[in-house]
Amino acid sequence: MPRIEILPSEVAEKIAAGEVIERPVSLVKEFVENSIDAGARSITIDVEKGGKGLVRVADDGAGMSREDIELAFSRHATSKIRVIDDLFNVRTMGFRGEALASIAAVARVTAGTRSAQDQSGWEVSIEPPAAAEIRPVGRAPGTTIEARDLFFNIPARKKFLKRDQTELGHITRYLQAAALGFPGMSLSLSSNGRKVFSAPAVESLRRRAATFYGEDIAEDLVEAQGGREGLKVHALIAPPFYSRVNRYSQYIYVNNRYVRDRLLQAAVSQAFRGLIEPNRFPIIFLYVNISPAEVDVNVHPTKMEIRFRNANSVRGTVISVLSEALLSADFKSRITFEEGSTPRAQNIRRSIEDFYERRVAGGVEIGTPATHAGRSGGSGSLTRDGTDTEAAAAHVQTGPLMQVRGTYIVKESDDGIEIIDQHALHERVIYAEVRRRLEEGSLQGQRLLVPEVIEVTPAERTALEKARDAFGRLGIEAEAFGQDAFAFHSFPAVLGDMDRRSLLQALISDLSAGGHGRSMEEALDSLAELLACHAAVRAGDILGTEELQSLMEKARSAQGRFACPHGRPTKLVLTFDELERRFRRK
Amino acid sequence: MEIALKREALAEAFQMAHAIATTRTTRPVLQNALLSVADGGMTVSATDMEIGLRWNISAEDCRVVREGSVLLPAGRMAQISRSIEADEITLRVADKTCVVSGGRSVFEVLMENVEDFPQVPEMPDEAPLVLDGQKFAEMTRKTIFAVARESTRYALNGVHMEIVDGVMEMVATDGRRMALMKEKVDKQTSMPAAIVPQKALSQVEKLQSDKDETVNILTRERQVFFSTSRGTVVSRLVEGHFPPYREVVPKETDKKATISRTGLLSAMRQAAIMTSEDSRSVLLAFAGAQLTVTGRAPDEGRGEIGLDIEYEGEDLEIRFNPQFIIDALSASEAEKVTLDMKEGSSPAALKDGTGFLYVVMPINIV
Repeated sequence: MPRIEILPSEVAEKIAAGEVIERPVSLVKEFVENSIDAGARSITIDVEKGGKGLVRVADDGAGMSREDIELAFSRHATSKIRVIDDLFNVRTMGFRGEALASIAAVARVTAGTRSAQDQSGWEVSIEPPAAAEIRPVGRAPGTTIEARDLFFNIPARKKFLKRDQTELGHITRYLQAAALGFPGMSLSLSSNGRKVFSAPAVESLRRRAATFYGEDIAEDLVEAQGGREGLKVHALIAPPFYSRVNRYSQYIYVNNRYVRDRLLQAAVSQAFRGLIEPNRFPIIFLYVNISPAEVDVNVHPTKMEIRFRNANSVRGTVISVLSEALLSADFKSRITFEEGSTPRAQNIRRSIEDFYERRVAGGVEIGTPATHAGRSGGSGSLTRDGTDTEAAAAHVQTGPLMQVRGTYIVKESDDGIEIIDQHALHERVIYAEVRRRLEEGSLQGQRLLVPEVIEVTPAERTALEKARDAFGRLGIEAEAFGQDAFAFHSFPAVLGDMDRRSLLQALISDLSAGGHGRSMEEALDSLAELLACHAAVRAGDILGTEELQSLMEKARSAQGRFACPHGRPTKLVLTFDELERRFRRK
Repeated sequence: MEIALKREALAEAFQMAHAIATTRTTRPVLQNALLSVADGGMTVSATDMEIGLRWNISAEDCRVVREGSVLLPAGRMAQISRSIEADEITLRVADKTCVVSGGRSVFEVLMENVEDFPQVPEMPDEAPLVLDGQKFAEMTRKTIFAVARESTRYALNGVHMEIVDGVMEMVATDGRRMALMKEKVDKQTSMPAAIVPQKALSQVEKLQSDKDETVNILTRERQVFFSTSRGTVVSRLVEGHFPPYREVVPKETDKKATISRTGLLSAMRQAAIMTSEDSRSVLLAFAGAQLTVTGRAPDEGRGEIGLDIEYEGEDLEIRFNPQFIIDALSASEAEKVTLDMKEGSSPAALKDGTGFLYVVMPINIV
């Protein structure tokens, strides 16, 4: 008996389907991409049981003729590419010509369609292994396609589908991404007959972002734009303090195709380094338009992964466009009294408040009132009256500055009252300065009377030896001292009298925890972060007017001044708008 | 309890007590000072549990009516006794308050429970080490500035004191510079090595009614007492090992500069103007009989100050934190100081002709 047999076409189809159709969201994706390619202005999606029972996508696109629909469900039928060269110039969403056939192999599919030119439409249902049956039907132009009972004929795969809620979650996320890719298109999702979301057509990306992320974030989005010949980068970036714990809020599109590409994700992370808290991810809408010849989208049937011909150049361009926008931005974290950030949540909260006629002060606390600001012996930190010449001088340049609780600096700005975290801001100022110095050369090292000898583990020793040059540039001279210790002969002069031992220990363990994959640049970066953190004024340090003045002055030009190097915000703004609302002035 | 006192004496007592008492807030009772009236005088005690003060007001500054003791908030009493406009102030316990009156002012201050206040130990009745007050003040002044402020090596947070072979040594270091002061004492005297917290030492000078008064010192296992006729400061000793400071003194120096103290001080202060926060260093260039001190702030400019000096050795460039040099020069009163050096990366030793030796580490020249 021969050991190798040719698979029956039915089995082969199921295997091929498995690559394209993993779970209900795959159906949604294939259908919606077809709708987009068909020029739909409006797409309505209905699902049941998380898509396992039903996925129905209805659009108002171009529709298909009878001949089209007949071919649509045979493998490698596509209207989108004709010859192999086209594959390297793909500008449409779908192109492989295998999706519909694959879907027909694993679900009960019905499609109805009518092209604008035709007087009536056609309907086709396919239920394997029976052949497709086509009949005329009256309907509006566009296409409606539905797939029921996914994997009804492959129990083994069906078992692997998750709970309805989980599958619905995947679908919702994908559709949000699609909606954010095409703001001009109206898109809505219902599950078991109930509306999940509805994104009407809007004129801009910013408006679309507001649909899903609320007005506040939408308003704060910063625009980044740049690139080179054949590679255009456009992004809307939310201030880093709106960060999330996962990458779900990173929407990355290459030639309008939503992708989850590691290279681009890494580029985003790189651009945000030092601006966002560790293990947090920014909210970003990133659109990369690249000449189709430079990118291969045909890496995987789901097309979520892509390959760039010149990966380094793409990465570099994206990082530099994002960094430039980020570092020159001056994000302000607005103080609101509402907990929810979406308009809906705000409205609900507001009506509850009105109902009870009392304030609910959620969100950010407003700290100590100004009248408590005076401290015993506070040296001219308050502009008490006009005779305080020091304070008067301060007023001329930046407006009056007031220190509260030895921790916050309060000042007036164009749009409200700024509350600044002195430690966070000073940390950023020093960090930016240290980074700048490091780019030019090295920091000065203060030599020590007696070297600081610190015991190290073998892993730390290896890490230290690798990072010795980085340490040297920071003014730290390290030398192996026996088998399991290092002697440190000098220490960054900028740090003054601070605790050398614990800083060095922190640096060493941080360094070895970073693993071997860390580059010199990364090592320097985290060293600079630690330095800045330790060298900055602390909460509780009373600052004189001149010190306040000089801190604000330096902060004015510091790159990335809206966040400390760990990504926490440096200032909050209580807007005049918000004040007026709270005082019921409007 | 009832007592009448000279206003100035009372104000001074509470000021001293307040300086000791203010720092801690974890035990609110420590914000108070204990007043004990007995034997025709009054003692004011305060403590933060590390340092304690017993301040005496003698019979000539007060008139005891009735003996007793009372616990009062040190800070508030310092304010009251400073501001009453009268030469004499009366303290009188009445029911739950202490009535503080002087001139036409009357304050009723609520008292705390005397029993809650920890006992500040008296100087043990043993023969103390007796030191010349002026000398001790000078030794303190020339070392205390070099004490480390933030070190987790607690030993560096105090001044190390010891008498070896009839020489008393006081030394302080923060790891970047070391200030050592030696003074001959009576051959018979001895004192085991002890590290005294900076805060305690800074109070001792105030115990002297005039600079000539001698200071008595007595060390116990973990405590040190300083006393004069005006009172006693007792302090917990800093535990830990002081670094082997004698080994730090550079021995193979081959370059020596002799410089006017005030001239160098002025040059350092001027050059320091032109330094920036992240690079506080000035360059000293020794060449022949010329010293050039240069300060440079990367984005702001530079300053260069020339000085005539006496110099032996090859030309040398060395970079210092200007504050380190300024600290030492300010503590000294000598007309001239000498700098012994070897190279730009090794320690320099500054001397002023007394028992003062200051070792300062340079900043790397990059």
